[in-house]
Amino acid sequence: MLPFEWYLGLSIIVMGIGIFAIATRKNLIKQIIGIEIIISAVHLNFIAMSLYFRNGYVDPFAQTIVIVSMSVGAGIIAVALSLTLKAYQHYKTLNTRRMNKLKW
Amino acid sequence: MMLPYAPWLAWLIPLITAILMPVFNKLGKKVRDYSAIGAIFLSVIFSFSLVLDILYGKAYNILTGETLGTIPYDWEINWLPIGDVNGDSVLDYITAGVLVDPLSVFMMCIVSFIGLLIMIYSLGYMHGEPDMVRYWFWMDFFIGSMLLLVSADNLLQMFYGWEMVGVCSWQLISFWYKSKSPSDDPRFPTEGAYNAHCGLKAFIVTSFGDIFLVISIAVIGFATWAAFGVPTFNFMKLAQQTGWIGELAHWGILTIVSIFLFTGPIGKSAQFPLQEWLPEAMAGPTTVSALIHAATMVKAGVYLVARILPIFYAGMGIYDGLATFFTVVAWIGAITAFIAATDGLVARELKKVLAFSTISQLGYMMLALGAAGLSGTLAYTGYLAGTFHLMAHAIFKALLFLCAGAVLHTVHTKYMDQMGGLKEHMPTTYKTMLIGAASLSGIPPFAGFFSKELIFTALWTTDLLALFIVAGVVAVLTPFYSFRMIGLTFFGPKSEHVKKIEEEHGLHEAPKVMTIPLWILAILTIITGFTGPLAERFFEPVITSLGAGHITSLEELYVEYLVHSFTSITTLISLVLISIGFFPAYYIYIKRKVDPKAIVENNALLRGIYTLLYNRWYWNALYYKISGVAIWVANRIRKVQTGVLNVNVLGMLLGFAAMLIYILLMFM
Repeated sequence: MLPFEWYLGLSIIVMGIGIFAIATRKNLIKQIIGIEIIISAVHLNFIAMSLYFRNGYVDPFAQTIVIVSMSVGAGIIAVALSLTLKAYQHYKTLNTRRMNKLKW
Repeated sequence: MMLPYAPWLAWLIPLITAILMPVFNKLGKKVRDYSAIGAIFLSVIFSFSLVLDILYGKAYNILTGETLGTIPYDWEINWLPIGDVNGDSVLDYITAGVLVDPLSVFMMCIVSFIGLLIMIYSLGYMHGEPDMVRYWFWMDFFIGSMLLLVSADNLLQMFYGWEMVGVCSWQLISFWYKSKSPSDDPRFPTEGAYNAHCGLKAFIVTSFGDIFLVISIAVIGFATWAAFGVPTFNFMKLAQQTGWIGELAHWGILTIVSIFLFTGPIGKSAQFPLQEWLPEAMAGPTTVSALIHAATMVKAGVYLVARILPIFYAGMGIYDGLATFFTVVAWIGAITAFIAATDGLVARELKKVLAFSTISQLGYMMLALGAAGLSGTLAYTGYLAGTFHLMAHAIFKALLFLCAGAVLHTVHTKYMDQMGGLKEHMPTTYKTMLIGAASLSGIPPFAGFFSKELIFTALWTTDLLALFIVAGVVAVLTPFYSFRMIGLTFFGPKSEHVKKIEEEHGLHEAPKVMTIPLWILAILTIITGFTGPLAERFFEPVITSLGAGHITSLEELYVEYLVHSFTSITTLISLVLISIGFFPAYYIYIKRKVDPKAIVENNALLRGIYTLLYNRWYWNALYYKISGVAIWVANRIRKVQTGVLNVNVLGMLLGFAAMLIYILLMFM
């Protein structure tokens, strides 16, 4: 089995990619993808911890939380994408710098 | 003889009705209007059912026949638990509750009754207005919050009501924010923008005072914690044990905390130097102005001072710092009364004259209450004078505002120089407004005469001559601006604007639903003055703690009161002062013998004074200077808030990196 640090390292790298996406991309869809990447990094971290923090067995609680989080995440992504669609229809652009007016 | 749960239901019913207002709206317009008024009507019944309890000295449930306790009766419930350090068990509670004592019941009756008349009047005044759901919601909420404020038994609960009243005033003053007609003020594109600005100004200026109030409430909480072992805000406990004042004196902050406590009333009751929001608050519907000026909102500050006065009075013999508090209250009141009265002399708008007169009369009340604390064993005279003037003012100011509403309803202009000659066309409004103005000026036998007489007596007998002189000067100015207002509105030739209105629609008297409240208030204005000894009897539990003897016979008190009111030296002085103010106004504005404009134009000094007063001593300009500085700073700081997600995330990363470096350095 791989050592625990490898999982943590991968998790940090994935997290960094996600934050990089949010910090540099102006496109709304790319930002949402960035958020999703961050969430998967967190999931990976949870699973790794569930494996290595108990000797001899896998902690079911962490796994449950990850499964719940994934199903909630599916819901979030659906809402986020539908909002994106509406925003695109309204502003005729996906550039977030131009979506700065709350009122028409 | 209280109805079951009367002190609770009196303020809960309007609040709940307000929240249910959209539901009532679905049931129909009539249901909506009458349920809004009905809620206040129930409040009136519940409030007045408490009066007999005060007179008999015990709280008594009329339905079950159960005696709840003696007056002052504090009906407490557990509110916020205070746990021990581990959070395992509850040591004590900060209580919420209602207080059935003379001052609370007195205020509840005034607020609910005046509120009811104004609500009935609204039926006619706001007829056919869109957004009536919003209107009724905020009006009910306003009256309910004010009743919560005056019936609360502790500072914290009172502060809830205090802030709710502030929010309601903001919404109601800017009620017509949608109005698209052009504004007279060049700073705003539309009248609606101006109205919204005025509402926000009222809210911000009063909230500025509230900051200091909430600080002082918190400090009082710490002081009681140190003195009693548990923090308490309960008025009864604060009054019974004054150890907490000792703690404050020990910490050396007694004076500053007491003055911070007074800063809340300075903002709320529009005292100097935070008085400038009240004239602007005229932007709302006239019913709202009447409610703000007569019953709710501005009376809250006077109420708080009257509530805190016996507590500080009890501690005054022991701790020096409290004399400063009373001196500040008295002089702030005196300065306010003077400044507002001079502003009232030159105001152009009908409602602004009334606004300035309100500020001036509130100054009188503060003056009387402050003088009460300074006058040793005669403290009860000032206390009675202040509270009695509060009642008299509530009635005649509601009357004056509702009359002004009737006038505005007919002539569609707010400027007095565009009115004139309305006397024949609006006889009821004219007569009732004349009664109101006479009462405001202090002409016998109207309510204002008696209450001002009490204030003068309180100042005279206690040798506070400097305050007496200021009060005297204001007493000269008051009849002048009152009768200037009457003269410009009802007498003289008709202006071009009035003639135009007459040709187009005809000048008509207000409908019955509006004139009936006017007559009720006018009759009350006439009889209220003669209820002085009854008020004294009503306040007996409070004033005996302020140095008054027990009342033996009401008849003797009556004789003494009437003889004193009409024959004492202060009566003579005040009548002379009123005449000095009244006759110039009579000749200039009612008989129109001389043209005041020409006199002012030809005299450089008078012109200068006119400009100074018309600009309200430039206090308003100073406000905008201060807020201009704040806006300048805010415009620079707001650059940090880009609203761009990329930048925010980068900032987050930088902060995270800084934190990591800090942790690493700590472990190295």
